[in-house]
Amino acid sequence: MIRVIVDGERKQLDKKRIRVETLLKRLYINPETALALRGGEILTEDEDLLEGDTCVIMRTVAKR
Amino acid sequence: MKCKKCGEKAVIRLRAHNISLCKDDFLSFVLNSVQRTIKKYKLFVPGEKILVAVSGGKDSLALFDILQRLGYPVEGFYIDLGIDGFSQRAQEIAGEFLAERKAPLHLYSLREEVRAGVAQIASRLKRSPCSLCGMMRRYIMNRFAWEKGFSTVVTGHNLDDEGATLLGNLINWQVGYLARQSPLLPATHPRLVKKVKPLARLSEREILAYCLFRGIAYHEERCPHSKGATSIKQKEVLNLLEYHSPGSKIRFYQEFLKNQEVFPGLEPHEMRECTVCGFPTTRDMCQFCAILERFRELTPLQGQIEERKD
Repeated sequence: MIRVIVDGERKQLDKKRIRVETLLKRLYINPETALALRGGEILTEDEDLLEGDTCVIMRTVAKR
Repeated sequence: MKCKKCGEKAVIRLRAHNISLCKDDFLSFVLNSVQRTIKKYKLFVPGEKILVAVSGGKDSLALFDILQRLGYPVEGFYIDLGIDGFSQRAQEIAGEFLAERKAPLHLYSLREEVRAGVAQIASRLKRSPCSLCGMMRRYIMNRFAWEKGFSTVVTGHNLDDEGATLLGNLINWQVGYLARQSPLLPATHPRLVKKVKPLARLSEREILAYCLFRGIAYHEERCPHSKGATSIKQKEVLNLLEYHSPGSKIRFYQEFLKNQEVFPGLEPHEMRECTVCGFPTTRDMCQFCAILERFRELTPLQGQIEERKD
């Protein structure tokens, strides 16, 4: 399970591994308008999220 | 992914520039970009007093941090337009940020001047809060800077803001605005202060990353009145182009600046002094004073109501 927090909403992905680039596509988020973080560290789009990770998506323009 | 400068592990990819950078080289990239904009457009002259408009948001706080690091003598200015549940928190964040940096923060409160917030004024005048907010901020920034002897007002407009403004001006063929849009708006009247935008070459994503790397705690909440704003849609359109064709935003803006002379602009209006405040206007009364006068006419008991609440 991979946890994702985006726009204050918590989501869970039933995956063992997912690329940041793929995750953003799945969430219909343009990578030009967001950054993905794990443990407060910015991730590049070629990095993988692994089971147990929590990823926070920060938007350039807040959605709420 | 390796940093293009040093070969260490990259932490951010900048597709517009076709580079990936480590944290240190990214932070240098941001500072160099701002310094280049300052030099290219001659935004500051040595020894001048610089007032930075701080909203508590990421752009203005990053801007303040960058200018301080580059050695410019900056002071902050927060304009409280009395937006319930928003302005107060934004002011607290701006205050904490500047206090940490031991920099002066000047404050203005619309409620102290009019006993009403911008939303109440807009509602009474049946106007959009966003149109009043922009006009009031520009007026208040200029008046405050001029009265306190600042020669420059600096705002945190970034590449996405400038691109959206440019797109909007093109869609509506605002030839006069197109002729004037620039990182440098010179003072064209003794009572008008120069306005500059040193972040004009940096995207919102780059500024967001800068804040995260520097640990800048900014006000993340969006203004409650900005929902559905046209500028947000324009930014989305430009970012869609950027996604499919990296570098589109910076090319759109920079090539416009290079070719701006194709927009000759309009004949300058004759400037007069506002009969109420004395600041320059093309009418008898400036927009700010006209709005406040109309609001007071429509709200004769406003002062008494607010006083009773106190």
